Amino acid sequence: MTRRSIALATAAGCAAIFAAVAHAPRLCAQQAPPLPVHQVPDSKNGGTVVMLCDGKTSVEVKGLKPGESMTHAQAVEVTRELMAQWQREHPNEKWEMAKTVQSSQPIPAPPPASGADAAAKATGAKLQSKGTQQGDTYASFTDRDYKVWKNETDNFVAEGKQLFHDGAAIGGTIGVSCDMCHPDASNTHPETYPKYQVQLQRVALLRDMIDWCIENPVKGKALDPNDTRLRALEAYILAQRKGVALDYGKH
Amino acid sequence: MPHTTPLLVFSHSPLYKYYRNWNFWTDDAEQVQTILKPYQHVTVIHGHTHQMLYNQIGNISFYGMLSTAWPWPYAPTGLPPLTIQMNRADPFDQFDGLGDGRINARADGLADKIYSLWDRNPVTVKADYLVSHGKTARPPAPQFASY
Repeated sequence: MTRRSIALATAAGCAAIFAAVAHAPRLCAQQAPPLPVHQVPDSKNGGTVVMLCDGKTSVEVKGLKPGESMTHAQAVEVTRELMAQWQREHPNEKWEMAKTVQSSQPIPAPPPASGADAAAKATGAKLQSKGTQQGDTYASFTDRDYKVWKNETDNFVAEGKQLFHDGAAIGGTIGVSCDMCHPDASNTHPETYPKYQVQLQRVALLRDMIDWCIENPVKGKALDPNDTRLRALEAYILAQRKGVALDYGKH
Repeated sequence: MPHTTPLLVFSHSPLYKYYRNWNFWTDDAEQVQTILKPYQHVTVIHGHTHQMLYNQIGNISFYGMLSTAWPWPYAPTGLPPLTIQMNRADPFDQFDGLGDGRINARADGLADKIYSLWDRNPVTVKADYLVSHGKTARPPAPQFASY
């Protein structure tokens, strides 16, 4: 069986499980999608291309071969050039340089982001109240945004809860699931990691212990750190400890 | 039956209310306790909770038994104040926190409990500790209580 056909068979098995428990969120063995990355254009002159955090503006450092470190002078020149280019392309954006000397002149507030304002008006969504700082990324979020994000997060936690109560879904082979020893994720103490786990003879993260439990009492195979199921389990366990102070290294 | 007769009651669940979410709970516990109340010496031995657990309600002493399969954590609320937690179980030792035990029924009508932990030293909880409401015979404290 080729690798591809194994993947297809797994997907088919997963679909069957999903059909049996319609409406219940269920994660199958799959990798979390890669995070978005900025596509840096190719070098035209054999140098190194550096991109601004907007993901669009870039300059090439001539003579700096890929992998080489640039000098301080080169780095200063790169930031100057990137900023100049960005300002040329955004003539209407107001940009204030950080002041190194206290100024007696009051700094005028930037205007609110007009796009967000218009969108809010059209959808009836409420922008941040007046009297708070305006015009930046965070100020343009609406109540609707927060609701969407909360739903997304709560759904991910709910998926983790499902997995926490289903040994087979995390590759268990003997009918043991996490909740059997850890009802409501009790005694998982995610707030105490990283800590030296004497039985492992190394500093452990929460995910190391989740994987240890999956391999040993649950008799499955350790999950890849990027496996969506491991990520969802982590989300559920952490969600159960909301409000508990972080206390890494505690035993 | 005269009320001076010592009673030993065996039940699966604790005959009191500990933590409802995990069903460490008996709905009609008060009714059972009312039946047992007239007797001078009553000891209830129960399972279900998989941990060293003891309690005193009026004249009734309660001892929870260990599990031979897996230990439960202590519930986040409702733990009887007289219970001194057992050390957290070592997940890397499949027999840690498990065990059997025995009850020593005494001539004075009380009963002591010996927790015979398989991979640890045994722990004795004397009835004197319970009936004195913790004033005497305090069992040893754990190094690492439940989170």
